[in-house]
Amino acid sequence: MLRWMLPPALLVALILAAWPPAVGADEPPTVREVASELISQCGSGMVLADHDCGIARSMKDSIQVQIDAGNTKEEILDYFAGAYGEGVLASPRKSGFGLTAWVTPLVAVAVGAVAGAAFTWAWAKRPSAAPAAEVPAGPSENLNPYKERVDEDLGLIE
Amino acid sequence: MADLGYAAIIAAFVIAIYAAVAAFVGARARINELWLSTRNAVFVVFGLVSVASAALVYSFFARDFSIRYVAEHSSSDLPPLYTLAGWWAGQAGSLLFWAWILSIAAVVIILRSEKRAREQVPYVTAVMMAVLAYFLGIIAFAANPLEKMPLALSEGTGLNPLLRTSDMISHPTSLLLGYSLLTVPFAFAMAALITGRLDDWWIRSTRRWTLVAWFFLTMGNLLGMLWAYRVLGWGGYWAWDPVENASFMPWLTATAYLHSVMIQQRRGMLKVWNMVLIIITFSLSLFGTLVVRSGILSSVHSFAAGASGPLFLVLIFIVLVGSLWLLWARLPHLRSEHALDSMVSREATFLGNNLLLVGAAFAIFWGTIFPIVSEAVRGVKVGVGTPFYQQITAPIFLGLIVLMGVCALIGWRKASVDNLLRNFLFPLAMAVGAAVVLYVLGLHSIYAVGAFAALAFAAATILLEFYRGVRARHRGHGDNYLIALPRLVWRHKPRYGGYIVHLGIVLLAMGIIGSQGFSTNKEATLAPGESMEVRGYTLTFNDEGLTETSNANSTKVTATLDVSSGGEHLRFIDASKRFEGRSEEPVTDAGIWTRPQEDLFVILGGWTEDGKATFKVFVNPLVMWIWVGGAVIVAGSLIAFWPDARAEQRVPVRRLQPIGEVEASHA
Repeated sequence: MLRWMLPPALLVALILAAWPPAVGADEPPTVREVASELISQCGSGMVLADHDCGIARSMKDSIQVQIDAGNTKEEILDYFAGAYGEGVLASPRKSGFGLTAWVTPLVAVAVGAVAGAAFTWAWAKRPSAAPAAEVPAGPSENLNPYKERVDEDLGLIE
Repeated sequence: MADLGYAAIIAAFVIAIYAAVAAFVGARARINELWLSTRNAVFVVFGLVSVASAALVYSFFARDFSIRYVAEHSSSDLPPLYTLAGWWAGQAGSLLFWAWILSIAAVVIILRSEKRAREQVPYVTAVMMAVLAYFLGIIAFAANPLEKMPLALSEGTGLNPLLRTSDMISHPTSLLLGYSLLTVPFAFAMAALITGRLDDWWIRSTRRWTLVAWFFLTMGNLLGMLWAYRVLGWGGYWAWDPVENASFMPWLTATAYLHSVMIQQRRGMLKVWNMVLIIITFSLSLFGTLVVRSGILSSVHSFAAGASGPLFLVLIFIVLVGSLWLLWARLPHLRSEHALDSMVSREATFLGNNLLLVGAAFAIFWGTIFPIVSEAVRGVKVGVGTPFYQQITAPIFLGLIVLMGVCALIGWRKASVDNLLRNFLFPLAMAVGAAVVLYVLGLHSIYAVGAFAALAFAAATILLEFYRGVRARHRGHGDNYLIALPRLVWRHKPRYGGYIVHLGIVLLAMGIIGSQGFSTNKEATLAPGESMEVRGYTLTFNDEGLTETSNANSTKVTATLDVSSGGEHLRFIDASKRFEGRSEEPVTDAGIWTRPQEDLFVILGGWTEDGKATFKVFVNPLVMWIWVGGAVIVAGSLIAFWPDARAEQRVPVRRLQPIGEVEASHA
């Protein structure tokens, strides 16, 4: 049994060893990091970091100026949200009403998973029309030659 | 010609309404003459929609700029291929194309399925004609592509320069084909509910239709990614734009449907769920048509904006309320024929796969409409872009990749612990091996290592399936391994076609993870002869500076860069801006050097009068595998729905079964 547990244990050990350290909070952000959190105001709806119209360039210049002035990423995002409205942010804020954008899909999937699991469990408990037989996993090696033979036979009928 | 086309649209609209009503009444009252009349009406509708389509195409080629749609989407200098593409370049023409495809599908169903499902086909026809009539109504009264202007323009405004690519022929048509053909399984499902014949006949009858629709949706999405990568010139291929989301959602639910119908076919289970899935999928295909052509959400596809949004919302409402009411009424007759035997079974894993696929579709739907929801609730329109979708969907898609592998390893009904251990050993070992190798090679991002390990696991399960099948054929028939593989695939097309699709998904996911997680980019303004460094590459703007070339339709400004690494010359890359026709908005022709490990992607951003040019350079790892994976998916899909000559020929054998009755009568 021990040898079966070795690969997963090794994987867990690797995960723990490789877990990224917390990024230093006082490091200044890059223009791309901030621009990845904003939407270009040229009307295309694309993320600012990926867009290059005239307005996008002036927004990126403004980000650079604010980074040079020592502003944090959050302060720069707040500045743009104040100037252009919340529609300039590439993702809703994780507070207030914006939080519902993040939570709703997760809740939906979680509720679906719980409901599905309960439903499946109750279903599995119900008496089956046919007795449950142990069916080998996947396309059984034992059955394949027979299936092939059936195919061959059917081919002979054609 | 435009008047003839418009008259054909009006006539088709009226006759489609007649066909829908006559098919329904004829089937209900069992009036054969009414059904025969319906058949003829369907053929006439097809003919009339074809006439209208031909009139529009003719108007484009005749440069009839008295027609608003032609004037807005073409000009006299447009080459023939792009002139044809004008048909679906805007809202009204796209709807006509949609309707034309549906009219063809209706004719094919009557010709092919009438004898096989005599009781149900009239209802299928009624649903399809009702949908078609609604579309023709929108075309006739709200989005007429043949509308004439009071005065003819001397020249058209031309096709948007971004659309002057070969992708414009294949990408929109593929998506519109996918959307339109999803009407077929929906119509069969409704016919099953109306007639009360709720076994799996409607699933069997529409298996190939659904696969074809899914195939075109897949192609449409992939070609859209390719177009975005090559033409939009921002270094990426998927922007989580509302229109992209709208085409991705029905693909996700259609994929869920293609998997869950297997459970109904094998075990007689999930009958209600399959109905719900096809209703959702069809509604999402209508939503996709609405979003791509209504302009209700700001999008890179805003060149196709139109004014028929409310009419589409009404149609979606009718479809949802009508079909769910019908489903509710039939609920007592949709009981499963079997219970689930075990939580550890392929059925249970398919349920998990369905949950994640539908969950992903819901998450994307929620993100797409959240700006509208926020505006309605708070009066503030918020932005929902790439960071949101990546964070929400990445864990779901990773779960799907893992489940894709697990599904193949677990048998139907119930799997034993011994079987699980035996089947999981090799794929798990591959996953762990991949993780260790990547870590040792210097990949220390835990997310990336986990994602690539999941891909290795899924790929190993698929390869294991192929290995076992080939070995069985080798032992059973004595085929050598090289011959056994194609024979195995050809004799079990749906199954191994499906596995090939899964393999394509793994390759595609590998490309997405590599390019999303490890892309590098740098921007610099260079004078001729100057260089920039990007991740080991040195790019030198050539001494000649920018060159300008022109032909009858376009002018192109090109910068050539010498790419070298470690002092060794590798190749030259051209990056251009192209001015099509009279447009002052340039199109980007990115310089792309594709190799298996990474793409070097160069955009010419702009230039100054003193000869300097601004370049944006990306190094995008593993992008090539997205296109390779896409090609593998397409090949797998073709194999999966390729007609099986043996199955076709076996039908008469099955039909001979009632011979027992003959014997009985003799007795």
